[in-house]
Amino acid sequence: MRLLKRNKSIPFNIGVTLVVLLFLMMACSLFYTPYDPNAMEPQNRLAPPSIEHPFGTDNFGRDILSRVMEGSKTAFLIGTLSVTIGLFFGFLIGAVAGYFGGWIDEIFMRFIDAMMAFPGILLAIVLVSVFNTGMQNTIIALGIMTIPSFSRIVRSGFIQVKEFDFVKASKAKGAGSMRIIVKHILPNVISSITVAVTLSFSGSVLAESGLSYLGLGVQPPDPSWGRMLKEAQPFIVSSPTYVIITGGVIMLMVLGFNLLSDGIRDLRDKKA
Amino acid sequence: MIEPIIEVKDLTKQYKIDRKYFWAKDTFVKAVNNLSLQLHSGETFGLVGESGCGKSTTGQIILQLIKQTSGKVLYKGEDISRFSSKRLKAWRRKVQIVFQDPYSSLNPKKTIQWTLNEPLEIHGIGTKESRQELIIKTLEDVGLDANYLKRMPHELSGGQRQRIAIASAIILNPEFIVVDEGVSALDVSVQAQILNLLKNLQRKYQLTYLFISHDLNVVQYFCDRIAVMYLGEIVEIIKSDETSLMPKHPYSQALFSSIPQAFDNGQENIVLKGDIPSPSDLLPGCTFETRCPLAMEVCKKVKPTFKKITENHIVSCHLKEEA
Repeated sequence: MRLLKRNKSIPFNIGVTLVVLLFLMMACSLFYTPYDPNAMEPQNRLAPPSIEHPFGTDNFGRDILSRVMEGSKTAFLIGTLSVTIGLFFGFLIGAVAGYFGGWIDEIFMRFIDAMMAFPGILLAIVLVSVFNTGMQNTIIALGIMTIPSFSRIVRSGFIQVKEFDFVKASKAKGAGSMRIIVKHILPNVISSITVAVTLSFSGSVLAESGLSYLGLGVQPPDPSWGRMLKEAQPFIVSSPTYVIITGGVIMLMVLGFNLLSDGIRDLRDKKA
Repeated sequence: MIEPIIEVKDLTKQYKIDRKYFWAKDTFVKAVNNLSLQLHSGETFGLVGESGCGKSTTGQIILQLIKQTSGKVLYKGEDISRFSSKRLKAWRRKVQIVFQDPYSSLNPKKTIQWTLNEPLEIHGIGTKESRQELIIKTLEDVGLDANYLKRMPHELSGGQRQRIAIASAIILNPEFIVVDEGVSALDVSVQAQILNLLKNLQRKYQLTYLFISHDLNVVQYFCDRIAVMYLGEIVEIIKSDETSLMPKHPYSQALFSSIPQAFDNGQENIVLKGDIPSPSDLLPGCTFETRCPLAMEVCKKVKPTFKKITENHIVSCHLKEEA
């Protein structure tokens, strides 16, 4: 809250609000959804928004609000885990390459370049089609997809900070590599990593929706916004609320995290 | 004769330049070229020269922050490149460095307390209480007090930061400090304060300084001996005497004639013409030959050797014969 009050950046505030609201929705769905998200009401298919069903119902007569809430769990789970995987490996690769430089850097970065040569989503599609679909493989595929961007950001931060005089001064005082990395370099690159984390989070959510839309991501019965969008597609004319609401939720999530990362960047630049 | 505290022998540092084509030959830049010097305990040794002549590289090689290509650095007669990693860490207590830019020499994310505690932590010195005492005593040594402990570097002025940087260098009680352009980034009034501080600390703790600078006024005032560097080589080492500095090498003469004088003393400014030769492609003769106003035929072919003018004055130039 203190950060919110002190910080006058408008994008940051909008971003935080959106993310917090979506997070609350996700937290709420853990305990309560208005209807069972998989309960069908065949007599009430594709109903427009009403008091009973604020977002209307889908083609099987399921409550869209409940399904959106349920889908937010998937979105947050996939976003968090894939970013964690990407950050972990990306940080390791980037830190080692950036700190030690030389031929280690050369080898690691050529490897990352090779990964970057594939468009991220294509890489994910290949991985999923080789290792089969499902929640777990989607997370791993999206995690691998984010490794290159993390490792590049971490590497450039390390290269920049390791040349600063305070790092050399600490070395002259006898500090070892571990101490220099953890105590000197890490605190000075953490803000750019935070920006990358929020940005990748929205990227992962979007990529998951894309994969699920193609039928390659999360499989039933796990709920997913991307698959809801696919299911809504045939009814885009007859019952547009279904598409608009599902697409709108995905958009708000991505927008929220993007604005958040912009805000963090502003905050960091102002401080520097 | 007393053994020098630091002795540099034939030090060379080459940097490889990226090849233009895969099949091209490797080319090298000689940042430091066959440099030798001796530092005696308790003296202030100045190293001057234009930017890019290898002053800072020399300082950092002496502290083994950069590895030399060839040559030796001896500490009290022992080759430091032969030190085991344990010995090297212990040796680092004895030698320290103060950098030019006080804005990048302190970690911006850490408090002053943390910065001053770090060297003690690395070497496992004292208990928590005795460390705190030592930190406060050192802060007082550099003219600050315990109120600064909780502050962050961005809350301090350039002069205060430089004092902290000096404090973190002297807290381990070193014998030798490299002051790498240590006052160049400061205002003139603050420069004087920091120089006096360094002098006082030298008296108090018998420190030896290697004072790297391009500011000739400061060097002349502050140093006991001055070495003039040109393109990675020392061309002259001269005892500093405020009243009568009589450099013999044409480059040093040009350099020292460029010091602005408050009163016109009739001294003529020597303006150098010609280009600095590329340090990747040095000719066999004297490196200064291309710009030297007094260059002779021999300068193009033969590298001059050091000649003694007086006990404390050596120069590397074909014009000067041994006195």
